[in-house]
Amino acid sequence: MTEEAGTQYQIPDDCYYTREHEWLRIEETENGTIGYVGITDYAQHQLGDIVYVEVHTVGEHVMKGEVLGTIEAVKTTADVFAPISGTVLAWNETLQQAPQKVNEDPYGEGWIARIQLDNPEEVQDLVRAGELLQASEYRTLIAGEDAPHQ
Amino acid sequence: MPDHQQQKQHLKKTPLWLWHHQYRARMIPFAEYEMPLYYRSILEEHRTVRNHAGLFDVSHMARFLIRGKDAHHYLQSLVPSSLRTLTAGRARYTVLLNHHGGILDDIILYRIDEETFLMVGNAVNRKKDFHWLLCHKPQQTSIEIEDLTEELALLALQGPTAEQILATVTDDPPPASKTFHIVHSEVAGIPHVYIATTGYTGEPGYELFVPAGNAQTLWTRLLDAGKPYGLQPAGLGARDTLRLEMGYCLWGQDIDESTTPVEANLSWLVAWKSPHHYPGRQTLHQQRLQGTQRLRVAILSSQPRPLRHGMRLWTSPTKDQMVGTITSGGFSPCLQRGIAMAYVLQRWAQPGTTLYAGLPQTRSPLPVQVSSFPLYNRENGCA
Repeated sequence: MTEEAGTQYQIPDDCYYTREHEWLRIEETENGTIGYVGITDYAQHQLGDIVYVEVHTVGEHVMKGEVLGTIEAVKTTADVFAPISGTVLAWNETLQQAPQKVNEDPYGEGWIARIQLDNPEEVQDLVRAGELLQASEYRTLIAGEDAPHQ
Repeated sequence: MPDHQQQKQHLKKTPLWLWHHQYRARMIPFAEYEMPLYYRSILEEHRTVRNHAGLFDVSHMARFLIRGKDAHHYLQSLVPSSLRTLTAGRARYTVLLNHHGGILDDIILYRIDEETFLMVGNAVNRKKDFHWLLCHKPQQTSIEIEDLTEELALLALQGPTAEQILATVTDDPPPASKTFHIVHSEVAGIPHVYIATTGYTGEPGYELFVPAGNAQTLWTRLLDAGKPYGLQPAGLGARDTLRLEMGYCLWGQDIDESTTPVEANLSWLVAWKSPHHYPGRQTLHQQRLQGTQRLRVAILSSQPRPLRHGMRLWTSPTKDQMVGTITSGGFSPCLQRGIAMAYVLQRWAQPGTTLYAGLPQTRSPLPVQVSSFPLYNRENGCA
């Protein structure tokens, strides 16, 4: 293992991260603040081949930490948690036919759900509380989880 | 997200452990060993085995040598199959049973020569099998039983191009289509390799017994020789999805000491007309006459969502009556949908029966169909 632990994963600077390995990308639109949610490159790598994605909360209101949907990999099942509170506007329906996009492009075509935020200020509150991490903090988190073991 | 950080210090290593690490395999603890789950992707490795060939390190499996004048007799006294046609150079899939007919282990017996047998069992049962073999050895005979698990490595070369690959590194390879045979040979310059036409994938191929010290050389020479034929290393993840598509049992999940071969839909391996005695015989014959409550069946979903071990099966979407439990479940890379095997009550075990699958707490179980083994047929291909 020549690489420094954690550096082999993509961690874009324009996202916030949860300790459960979701990412949140904030977009300001004319209809208010929207958050895109997906799982991180580290998470997709841990899960392996993803064969099924389901988001059963479209149209519903979710609180931060509630289950948004489910990801099924060949070997395991994982819940996707809401990184922030709001109304689930849509999910990425292309994942129905092509769930592998979560593996191939976790921050792009593999996005999972779109949430209308209740309160844009919650983002900064959660950052201050250490519940949403910046890219550099998230890098440190996974470097700890992924330390080489002999 | 699951926690994959495990204590790995105390796990055993196969002779190929270093190679797996250098090749950056995803390693998992399995039956006291640290084994490769996959190298690049379970799905990719699965398709490679179905369409080309895969090379597996299965050195964690238990291996015993049983030798002596009376070895054939002795082994016959332990299993419900007839070993009459297990002549030198042939192999047989069978089971060790406890006195109630429960399956202690499923095994393959290989007859090397008149007086020498190899037995391969599940890694988790290694100590138990060895103990069982010793305990049932008749005292007045000179049968030797040796645990060779650590001295011999076991590689599985599986897939439609396996025979072409083996032909490039050994003279006169046994035809892969002639299954359940074993020969002694030199392979890729390595002497004393046993080539068996057995496997756990449903593809034509080989299992190669090689002295542990030569395992890595054989492994890398096979991979080199197989390159033009699409050979890739494959891990336990693909091995599991491949065997599930074929309906092959995994001991500890689909069969164990509380299931008999009759319930497990393995009646075909019982020699009903043979007068020989073996542990559990009475239970088996009784079950054959009276029937059993439940039966192992294949389950096919219409959707890609994987089915999972522990899911229940109900007769209606409203979960009115529970009639079965899934023992192995997953996603079929070839069929692109959820597949499983399950034990269901006989009344609901007919192929074509619609049932509803889900974890105990689910509110919306998935419609599935009872089907027959194997779930995957080569004629339909694997995209």
